[in-house]
Amino acid sequence: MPTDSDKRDQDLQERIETFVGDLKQGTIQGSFNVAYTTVSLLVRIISQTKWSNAKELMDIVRAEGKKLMSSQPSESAIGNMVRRVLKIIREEYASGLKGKSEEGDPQESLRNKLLTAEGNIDDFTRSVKDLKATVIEAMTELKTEIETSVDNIATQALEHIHSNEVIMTAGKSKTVEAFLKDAARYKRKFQVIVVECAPFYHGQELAVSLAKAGIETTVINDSAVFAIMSRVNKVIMGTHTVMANGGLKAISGSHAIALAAKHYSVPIVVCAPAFKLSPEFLCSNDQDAFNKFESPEDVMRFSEGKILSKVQIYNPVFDYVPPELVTLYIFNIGGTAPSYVYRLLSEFYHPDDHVL
Amino acid sequence: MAPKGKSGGANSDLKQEDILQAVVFADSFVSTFAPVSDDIPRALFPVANSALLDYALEFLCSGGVQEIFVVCCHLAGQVREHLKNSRWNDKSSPCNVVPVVTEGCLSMGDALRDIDAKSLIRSDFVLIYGDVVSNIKLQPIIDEHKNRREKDKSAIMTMVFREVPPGHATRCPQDDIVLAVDNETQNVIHYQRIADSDTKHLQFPVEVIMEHKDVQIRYDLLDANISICSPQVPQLFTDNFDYETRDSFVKGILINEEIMGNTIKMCVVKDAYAARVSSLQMYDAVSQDILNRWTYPFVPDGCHRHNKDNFSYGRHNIYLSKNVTLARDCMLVENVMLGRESAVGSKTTISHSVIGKNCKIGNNVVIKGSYLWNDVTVEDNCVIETSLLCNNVTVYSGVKLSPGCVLSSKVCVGPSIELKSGTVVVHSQEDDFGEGTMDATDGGCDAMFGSKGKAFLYKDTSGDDSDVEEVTRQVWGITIETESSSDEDSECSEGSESPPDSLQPDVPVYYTEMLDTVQRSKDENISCENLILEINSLKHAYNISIKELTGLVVKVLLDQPFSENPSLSGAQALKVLTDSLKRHLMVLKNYIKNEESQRQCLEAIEDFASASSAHLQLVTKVIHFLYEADVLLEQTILKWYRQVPSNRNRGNNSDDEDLEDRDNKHAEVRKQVAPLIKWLEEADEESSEED
Repeated sequence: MPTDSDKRDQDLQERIETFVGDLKQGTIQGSFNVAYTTVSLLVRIISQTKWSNAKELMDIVRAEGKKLMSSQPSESAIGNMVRRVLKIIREEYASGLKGKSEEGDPQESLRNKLLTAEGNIDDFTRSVKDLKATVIEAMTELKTEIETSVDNIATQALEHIHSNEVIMTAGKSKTVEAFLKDAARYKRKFQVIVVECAPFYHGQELAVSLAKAGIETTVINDSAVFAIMSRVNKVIMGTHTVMANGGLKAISGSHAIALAAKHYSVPIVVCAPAFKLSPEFLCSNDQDAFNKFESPEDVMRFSEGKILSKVQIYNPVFDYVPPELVTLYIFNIGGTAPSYVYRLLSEFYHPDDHVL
Repeated sequence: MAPKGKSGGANSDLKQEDILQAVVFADSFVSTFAPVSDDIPRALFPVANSALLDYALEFLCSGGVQEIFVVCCHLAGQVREHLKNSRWNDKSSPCNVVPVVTEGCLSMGDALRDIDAKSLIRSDFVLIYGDVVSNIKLQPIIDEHKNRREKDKSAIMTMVFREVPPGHATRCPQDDIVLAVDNETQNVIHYQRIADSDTKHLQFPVEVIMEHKDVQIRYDLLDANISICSPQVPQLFTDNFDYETRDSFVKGILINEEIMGNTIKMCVVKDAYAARVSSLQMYDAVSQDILNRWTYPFVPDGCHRHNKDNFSYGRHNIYLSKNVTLARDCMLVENVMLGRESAVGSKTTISHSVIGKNCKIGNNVVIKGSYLWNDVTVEDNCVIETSLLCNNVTVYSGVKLSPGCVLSSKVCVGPSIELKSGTVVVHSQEDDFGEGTMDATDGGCDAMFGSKGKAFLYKDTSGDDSDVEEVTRQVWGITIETESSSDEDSECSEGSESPPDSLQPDVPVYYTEMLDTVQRSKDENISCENLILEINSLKHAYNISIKELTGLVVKVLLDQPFSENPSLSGAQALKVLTDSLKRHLMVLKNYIKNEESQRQCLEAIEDFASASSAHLQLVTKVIHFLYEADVLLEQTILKWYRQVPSNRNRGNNSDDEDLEDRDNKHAEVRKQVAPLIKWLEEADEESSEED
């Protein structure tokens, strides 16, 4: 039925375009939603487009992925999910072909990897039975992983938040919110100091939410961070992206907090779901698509008048925190040191997919 | 184009109720941008390398509008072509963009009547011009409008304003408005465009203050011409053929508020951007605002649904597209945008400018605050300041463009010339006999544009003289604006126009008008009451203060017999004059009441006397007559007599010679009146003795 498939094609294209449009408009908020919708869309693409072997499929996914990524370059979760899906396709192809996983046990040693490297598959053109079904099944697992990631992180809270601790956090991160609330649910007594994070003031929202959950909460302004830091036991932050070197791309102001914490030797714990792990590096602060600059309205009102034509106002959203300032990452798969992030990367993504 | 058939059958009617519609005028119905807009409609002007119309559509789309009617008029074909090739025509486009071609429409009113005739509007809709750039969140405003409409059917329109205080760069004098709002109901009760009134004075109807308890008068608003309208609005336009523009519509609604009961609500947005590209000055301001990211998310780097160029954003607001060639030692200072395939030569400095696609810029060029559209070539050693260079313009080496120059498309200028500030250059012009057009490529160009120049100085051939004046003034506006936006004197210029200056031109007109009226009243035998009425109404029409009025009335009454018969003199003159005064005694008594008005009356008489020696002789008689008629009191006359002349001269900007002349006159008048004064003084003494 050519008309039917045409219609389906059209429907798919429409969905992709709507998603691209929404990304450009910024109507999809939060990395979680972005990651989840990306995977859902990729499932649709894989099940609805025509392809005969794994290579074609990977080309399709890569092409669509590039399109999605270019629509909002600062949203790294899109690229991460596309890479994860490509890796899934590789694995399923290999296992379908040989009856065993391509890379085998993620815990295997470097020596083993070097020895088995010749065994890697370069030819993806052979047809594999039920590839579509297994790939989609694996992607459904990925979706579940994304969905449960926040809960998985939150359950680790009790190991990190101890009695009568003073914890500092900045901005509003869903993960951190769940993390702190989970600790509070087990009647653990602790105090939270929230940095409000001007000019977006998401910190205030978080403080309200925490206070409602019965946590003793204090809001401070950004400039008070250093003064308060000496009494803080632990900084727990969220992030937008975890870079390949273990650095952070987090809300602006994070770097200052991290430096203050370093000065007082306060450990910094970063809660991040695994889909925020990106194989990208930061080469320069001017790097394309690293930062996002929003309307200066939040910094200075447009109605301010004459002065506006004489000044340059910037409103960057992100900050880069170098890996040496971070003490520990809490992923949904467990705690990790920044120096170990590279290992996770090789687990999640295939090296060939780092550059799409 | 038919509406998308997503829902079929009986459901469609129900669903259509929910569709949010918008009407966009891709035509402004004015020629502010001539000659640039002669071959490219304003809606398609590239602003920061995207068509202006796309900003408007994008804005509506993000506000949840599902169906947009684009009314095309001037160069409708181009607008349609643009829409057809754009992503708005794609299947995935979130809203349905329908071009509505209404040829021959001369105003927004005509276009709306056409829309009403086609009955395209089914529910509340958004009405904007195609030159609006905004990132206002429409959804809450529309919801508010709808909620209000459910309670109160008469609230037919919500006008959306942006708070922009005076002196702001994104404020253009042509669009300055003043409006009065009822604080309780948020009803607009008075709306006035300042550019429309000739004077710097604003007049508010008394009802504005009288009939509302809590009124706000606001001058800090920018009208972006975004309005949420109920479906009645197009019908009202159809019913009232005199509604030409939205302004006249608003005025009409406000005047008829009591009869029709329709009201207009106001909504002030404080935290979002909105502006209209209504003039070159605004084009400049809006472009800079976009580069400064005020319009986020509608900024050049990526966040555009229709941006295929993928600009990258760098420090100091530098936007670079793909395949841009930059010489190693060129300087992009700040707020610079370079379009696809453009090249910049070495030692060239660019700041606050937008360069389009495929532009070639040579070495040692300085470009400041300028806008280069697509395919522009600028050769070495040029200096371009605050100018607009349209598509396919070539500027040969060594050319200097002073602020305010506009080179419309295909123009070539240079080499080694300098264009004056505010020069408008076109590629072709109608020849002097109006027989066909002269093309610059055929030769016969003005020599002032250099040996390789292919250009003509722009003359507005379409309209009458006043049009030309307006166009040049507005082209100049760009220079004045960019200079004064950095200075602080924009407010001073407003202040310097003090009230007397603006009033003065009216006085002579008023004087002659009143003279005619008095003459007519005599000819037609109109009663004094009616004459007073007429004088009063004239006073309002010409903005004359009551102070001036008294003097003028006296002067007119005295002058009138002489203007009728200039050769009048001696006893005959006296007779005619006293007759006239007798007849108009009631008028005089009406205006001359207190000491102040008496003094003015005497000054007017003195003025009258100084006109000629014949008049001088009459003065004593006139004053005596008025004294007898109880119009003038003894004390006032005496006071006036003893007055020092210089006192009287205040307000008259006469030079020294004139002053001396006046002093002489003053003395003469006093001399003439002396006997009367003596008599008065004696009479005074007598009466006091009797007491």
